[in-house]
Amino acid sequence: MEAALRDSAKKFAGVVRRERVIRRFFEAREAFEGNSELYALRVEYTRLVHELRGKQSEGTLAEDDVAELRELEQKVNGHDVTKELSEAQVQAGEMLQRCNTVISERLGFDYASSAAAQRSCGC
Amino acid sequence: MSDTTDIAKQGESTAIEEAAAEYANAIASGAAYREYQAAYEALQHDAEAMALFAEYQRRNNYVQAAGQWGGVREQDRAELERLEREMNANETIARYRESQSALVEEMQELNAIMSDELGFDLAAMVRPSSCGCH
Repeated sequence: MEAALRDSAKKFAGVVRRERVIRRFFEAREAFEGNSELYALRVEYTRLVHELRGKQSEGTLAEDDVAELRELEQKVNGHDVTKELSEAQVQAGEMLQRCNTVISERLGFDYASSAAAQRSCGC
Repeated sequence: MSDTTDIAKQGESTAIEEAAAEYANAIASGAAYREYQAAYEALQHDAEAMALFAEYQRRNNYVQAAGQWGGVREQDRAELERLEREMNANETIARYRESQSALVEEMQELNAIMSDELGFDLAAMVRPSSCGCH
């Protein structure tokens, strides 16, 4: 790959990183990952999902189990730190989508689909 | 939201979109993209190759759909393989496919560079559910 192209990718990434919405996303992600209360809830949620899958395969899953899972899910999703991360992620995604549109229009194909591309579309 | 905030937000959006356009121009100036464009143009102007390509895609879509309900017949599979061999032997199509693979590889490398810089996978974050191939 040409060095100029590599440099231009780094330059573009630098501009993206300095954007207000991306900075907000980074801060929200850091807060989410560093919140011990949320971490404990997420660990408990994962444990419960495993437990309930086992019960489901045994045919012993009860309504109370599902209600407990939903309650835990609501605690995680309704937490202020999670809500802030979700909002920041949506805003960041919208801005990056606009960038993808600009790049894709210039190139004549969807840039993100080609650049991510671990998943084959069969074309 | 105040007008001042709106204006500031607009200015910021323009800056990032300009940066995106500059990045796109750099890709479009690169050897891999130029070869891909030339191969694509050549394919568009080669009626025989286009017909073969279309027939292959039609048959491939059929075989894939049939495969989902376990109904692929041996003759369909053999026909697809015959078309695949014809495609490989066709210089226009082979050039197009090679240039497409090289360009996709370059896009993935560029995305890896940006992901390292950003700490998240930019392309995966915005990739649509369907593909954007020609």
